[in-house]
Order: sequence, then structure tokens, then C-alpha cells
Amino acid sequence: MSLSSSFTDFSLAELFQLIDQGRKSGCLSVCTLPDIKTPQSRAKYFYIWFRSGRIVAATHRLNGKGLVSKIAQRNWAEPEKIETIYKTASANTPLGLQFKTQEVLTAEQLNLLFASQLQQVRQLFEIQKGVFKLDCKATLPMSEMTGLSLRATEVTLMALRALKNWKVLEGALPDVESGIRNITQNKPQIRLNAFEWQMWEFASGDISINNIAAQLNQPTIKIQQAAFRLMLVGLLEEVPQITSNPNSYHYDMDSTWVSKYGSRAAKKHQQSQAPQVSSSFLQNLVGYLRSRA
Amino acid sequence: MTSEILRIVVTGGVGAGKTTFIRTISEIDVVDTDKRATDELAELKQTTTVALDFGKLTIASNQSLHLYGTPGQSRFDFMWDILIQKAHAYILLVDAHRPNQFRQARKLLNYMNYHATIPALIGITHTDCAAAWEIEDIALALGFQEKADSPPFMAINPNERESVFQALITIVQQLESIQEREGA
Repeated sequence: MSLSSSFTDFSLAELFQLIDQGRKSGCLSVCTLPDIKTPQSRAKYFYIWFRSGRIVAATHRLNGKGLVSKIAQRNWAEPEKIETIYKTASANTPLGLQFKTQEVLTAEQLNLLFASQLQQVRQLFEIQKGVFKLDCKATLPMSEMTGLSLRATEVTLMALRALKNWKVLEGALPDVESGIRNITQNKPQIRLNAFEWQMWEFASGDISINNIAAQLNQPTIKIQQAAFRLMLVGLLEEVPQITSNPNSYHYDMDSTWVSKYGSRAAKKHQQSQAPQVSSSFLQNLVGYLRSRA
Repeated sequence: MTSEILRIVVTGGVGAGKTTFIRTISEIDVVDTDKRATDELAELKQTTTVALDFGKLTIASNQSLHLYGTPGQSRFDFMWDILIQKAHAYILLVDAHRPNQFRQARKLLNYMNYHATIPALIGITHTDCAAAWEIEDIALALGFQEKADSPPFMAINPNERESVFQALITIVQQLESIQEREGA
């Protein structure tokens, strides 16, 4: 079984979270679907490699020459020198590092090459229609690697801060009635901006996103988007709240139930009203289920 | 003789197999509140549960197991409030080949974890489908990074009696362990 889906079902942002938290390695293939309304439109492919949840390389073709093309485009070395290093490169060391070891590229130039790869990755977050497949058995392409890496969630955070079109993520945003809850004991290690820190202060679980927006005097969508970013980096979780509008039902109900339960706001960890069951009952039940399984 | 009832909530997204799970083992005809689905739901399932499904197993004259299946749609309403107050445990069914339902499953888990402290079991259904994700990946998509912090996960076929019984045994054994710990 492989890990594959479409971006409308499982967004790239959520996928990066899964890769980061699962410390996945392998190659993620992304294919954007052509726009049927545009005759010239074609499917586009992109490939991202991960090691233990960190992005190590990205390119739009599989010919192993993406990195050397970038070096050549920038005129950072003589074409003959690039060709020689490429042809004699060790298969066990990232090509970028080999350029640096031979003093053809500086550390700063390697940083710029990796930043350029990440920029291409960040653009993928704008994809509205596309499919993906993660091959965890794929080997790492040393010829596309600079030797640098960055956590997938850090890339997500940067990409979402700059994202213009949130349409594909609309269904993933927390509900405006939901609260947000801090799920980490420690101060975040990831770099947050001032607005995200403000959101962090409201992560008690009891205050709805609507109320946070009102208190911060910000549009609700901006709060939803910031909360979503913090959810993706593993700092917050959405806490859905009970809605209590019995008028929205289209089936008959006993109004006394609604008056008893429907208007009560949910409280954290309500005391269970389930009567205690005896251990002999549980033993009987397991015996009964085993005998019929 | 006082009667004892163990109440288990069976929840999950549309088409995850909640109604089937209850039907497979209930000794009574499941109280069926399925209605013909409309709009986008109809693409997944012809009918959908609008209120609760209810099934029952009698263990002894004074002991029975009650199963409550929730509606598959996303709204958390007053009925959830009633259910989680009365439930002893819950089973979340997640359809392995519909990644578009993982978000809702995660919300359900967050909702349950925040509002109640009862044992849970996560049942992964449709694991034999071609596009099914691995259980390990589904666990990550639901927000579980460490196995130690996660409720038990198991593949369940809601159509198979043995599979459903096995799931129930697992969750009842969890309840037993909790009782033993609290009693110790």
C-alpha cells in the first residue's frame, strides 16, 4: 500500500505534517492536473525527497541534473568544471557538498541553491487540483542534494504565511465555533511570528475562534488560518464545541430532551454519568463475546 | 437484582461502517434512522444515519451491552453531549481508503478527548481497498505520533461477526484494565 491521494481530499500542508511527525523518508511525487478549460494546459510533475521528515531535495524532473542546472544558470562555475564534478561525484555524498569541498561553491551559495529548491516547494501549496504519492522506499538522489535540509513543517509554516489562495484548504480550517487547545507542555521551538504568539495565548480550548477574532479585532478567517498553521506544526488542536440549535433538525424529537441538554454549553471533561459496571459483568461480557467470536 | 448495562458509542465518518458494525452483532433489529442521502453525501452512500442507531446484546438476564451509532455528519450537537455522558467507551471507525475523512475523524477524537475521559478504540475499515492507507499513516493523520499515547488501533471488517466481536473484546478488556488499576 502506498500513501497517495488528491489535494482536495488531503492537503499538501496536512501531508507535510504527517511526513514530519512520522519522520518519513522517501520521494513525494506531485502531479498537478491540467485545467480542462485551458487547451494548452498540461499536467506538471514535481518531486520532493525527505529524510526523517526533513526536506533534502526538490526538483521538477527526474534526470538528476536539477541542481547542476541551477549552478550553471547562476554562472557560479565554469561549465567544464561543473561537468567534471558531476561526472566524478561520489554516489554517497550530496553533490552540493562535493562542490563545496572542492571550493567551487561557498556555504552561502549552497544556502541559496537550497532556498531556490524550497521556493519551488512553497509554490506547490497554491495547487488547487492535483494528486500525490509518497514512495517511502525511494533512494535519496545525491545529485539533487545540497547537503542542507529543513523540517517539512517549517516549510509549511513559511508557505502558509505567504499563501494567497486558501480555497483548497477551506475544509481543513478549524470551525469558527471551535476552540483551540495547546497540546504541548513546552514553549514552542519553532519560530512563530507576533500574531501567532498572540493566538497561542488563547489556546485554552474554551474560547471560540469567533471570540478570539472579536477580542483581537481581526477578521475571523485570519484567526482560522493562523490557528491552522499552529495546528500543522503540532502546537494546537481544534476543540469542536457542541452546537445547540434544535431548530436545525429535520426529524422529530422530544423537546424536553432539548431543554434539558441542548442549551448547556459543553464543559471540559464532564464527569461521566455512566453508572459504574461491576468487574464480574465485564468478565462475563468478555467470556460471552469470546464464545461467539 | 439490579440490571447492568454497558454502553458503547460507535462513531466515525459517513460510510465508515457504523450501522453495519452494530447490525452485524445486534440481537435486535437495529433501530434504523437511515435516510436517503442528498447532495455530496449521496456519492458516498445512498442512505445516511440522521439520528442514532441502536443495537443490543443480552449477556444475562440482568446484563446487557448497548451500542449507539452516531450520525456520520460533522455537527456536534446536544445528542453528542447526552451520549458521551452516558457512554462507558467509544469506538471510532475510520475508513482507510477515504483520506478526506481523516480530518473529521481527528475532530471527533479531539472532541471526545476534551469532553470526556473514557476508553477508546480506533477501528480501521476498508483496509482491503486498493487506495487504503496503512494503519500507521492513518494514526499519524489522526495526530498520534507516539504509540504509547495512542488508543489501540485495529483493522475491522464491520460485515464480519468475528471482527466486530474482537473489537468489542478489546475495548471491554481496556475497561477491565482501568477498573483493575483504579481498584489497586
